Amino acid sequence: MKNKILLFTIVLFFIFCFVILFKGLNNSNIYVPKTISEKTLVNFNSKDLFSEIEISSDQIFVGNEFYILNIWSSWCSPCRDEHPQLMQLSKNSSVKLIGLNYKDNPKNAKKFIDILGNPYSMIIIDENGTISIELGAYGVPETYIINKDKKIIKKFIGPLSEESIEEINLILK
Amino acid sequence: MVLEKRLFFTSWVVILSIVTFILSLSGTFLVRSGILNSVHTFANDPERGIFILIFLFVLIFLSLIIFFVFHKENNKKIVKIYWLSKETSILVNNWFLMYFLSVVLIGTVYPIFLEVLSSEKISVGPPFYHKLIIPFLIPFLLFMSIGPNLNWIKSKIKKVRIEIIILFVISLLVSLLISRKIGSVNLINIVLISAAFYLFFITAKDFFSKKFKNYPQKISHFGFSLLILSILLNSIFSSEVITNLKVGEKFSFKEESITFESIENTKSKNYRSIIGHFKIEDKQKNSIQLKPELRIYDQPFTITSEADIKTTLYYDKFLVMNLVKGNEYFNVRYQFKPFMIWIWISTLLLIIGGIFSLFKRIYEK
Amino acid sequence: MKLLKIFLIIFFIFNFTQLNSVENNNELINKISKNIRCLICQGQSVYDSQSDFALSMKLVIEKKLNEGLKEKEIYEYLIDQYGQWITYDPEFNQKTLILWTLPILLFIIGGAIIFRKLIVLK
Repeated sequence: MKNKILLFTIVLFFIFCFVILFKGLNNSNIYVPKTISEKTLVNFNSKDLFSEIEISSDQIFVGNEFYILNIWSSWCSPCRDEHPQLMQLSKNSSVKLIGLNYKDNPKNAKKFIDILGNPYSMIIIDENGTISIELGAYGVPETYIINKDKKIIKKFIGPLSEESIEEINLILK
Repeated sequence: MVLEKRLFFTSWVVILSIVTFILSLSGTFLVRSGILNSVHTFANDPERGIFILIFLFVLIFLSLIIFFVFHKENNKKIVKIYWLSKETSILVNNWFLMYFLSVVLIGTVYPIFLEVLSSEKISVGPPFYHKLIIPFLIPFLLFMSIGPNLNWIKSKIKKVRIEIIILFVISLLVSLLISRKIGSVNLINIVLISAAFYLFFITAKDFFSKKFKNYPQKISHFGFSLLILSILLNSIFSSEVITNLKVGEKFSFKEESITFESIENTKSKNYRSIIGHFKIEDKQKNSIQLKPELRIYDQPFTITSEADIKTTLYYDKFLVMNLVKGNEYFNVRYQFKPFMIWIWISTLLLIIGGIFSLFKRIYEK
Repeated sequence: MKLLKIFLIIFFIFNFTQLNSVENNNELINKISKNIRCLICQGQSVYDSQSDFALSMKLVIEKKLNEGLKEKEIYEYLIDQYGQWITYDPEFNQKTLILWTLPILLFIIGGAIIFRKLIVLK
């Protein structure tokens, strides 16, 4: 009798393991850090891509209701994919679109903008990637929606899709 | 082989064999299916993983059925055994090894369970394993020094021989010396290092004694202690340097200096290669040449890095270089790994001991 | 047996330090980056990885060290930014309780089983 109870519990345990492992297989491996609370944008210093003037974040994030910070590079192909969406967003006058050029060659970055168009009111550079890490990003492209109190309301990891644009438009209203 | 001598714990041995096989299959599943973040994964979708998973669990259930239906514990011969005997030491050894196994298994599998049950992702890495394994390693090593010398069923506590005490004291002194040298004198270090040395001395003494009784066992045990000792010394005395160098530059650190002498461009069948010539020079002006390579393949465009390693009985010197995007300099990584070859030699000894005991069985029949 | 238990308890109480003492900034950067996961790689640490993220992360760690942050504070900063997943040392909280205690529990249960079997045979 004791043996049968033991066998039963062991079988149950293994069924449990099987179910968990099965579900685990279907989970995606991409890690999305949870933004539990709204974080404030940290202060950073950078350089303008075209004029090469040093500028700090206090001077950039001032005077608008909303800001969209988009991290991009000329060597990143999803950035190319989301570019038309960014051009659309730039037509919205209530939001200031700022581009953060990540670990790029300035010549290539300028060429990228020349060919595809410039949706940004300002482009600043992150030469060694440290600004992006201090913002909590880890790849390109990433897009942040920031409000007038410099709080990060929403973060998009990966290229912007149709749904993301709709979400952004909702927030901007 | 051990089981033959005494018909004890037959159930345990059977369970152990089944578990070993099942775990090796689980290893295949965990690594190849993509369920864990691993460099060995080649699955793009869960399909392959599901197949291995189902296969694995069919085998698990079959083994359970076979075990519970067909196995009967041999309870006829109940022989008295005493605390101080070989049987107990084998049990204690299994006990500790099962603990190490459970640490590794739980550490690997727990993130999966946690993610499915609570959507939270954690990473389990070296700090976890060090904290849970090292404190148990010390008593384990000490038991291994005592165990093999005990008799089956019963051992009397003989007068402790002088040699054993001398070896113990030597281990302690060596350990203090090493701890002092690395600047980190604390109880854990001293005891761990002396336990490793003590086991090494004891098994070496048996290994080099002229008695041929139980020779395969002596080889294996010596191999095991050598393995533990070389891993320990290697991890204590390894050093690594990462720096950026242009051609012609020299980088000096504690004991040695790296000079980036020149670059060579060559072409092979399906790749171009950039070979870096480096000179590693130590304080006594002895130098070696290391030539790591960067291979540039075309279809598809991939750059791979080939390290160059110089191996001697005392150390391995390892050098690898990487392109830094858009720059003239290379990122150079140099590792000094002492006693590396002994880790391989000791594993070889373990295997030889196993093969010898197999032959011994056949010979005795 | 009692001796064994005392032995084990003593080792539990002691603080488990690293085997090597850390000397300078460079070694500290290496030490920290070995404990941080590269988020875009397949299971490599920031120390091992040559990816953009890893290289930038090493620079950020260096910057924070130069600002005077201690090792623990850097881990806290990174966990605050990226979540628990980035560090290889799972913190001991309600969710990881089973992780830390289950192996030791199994050890004790194993010991109890052996103990009982040996008593029976004696």
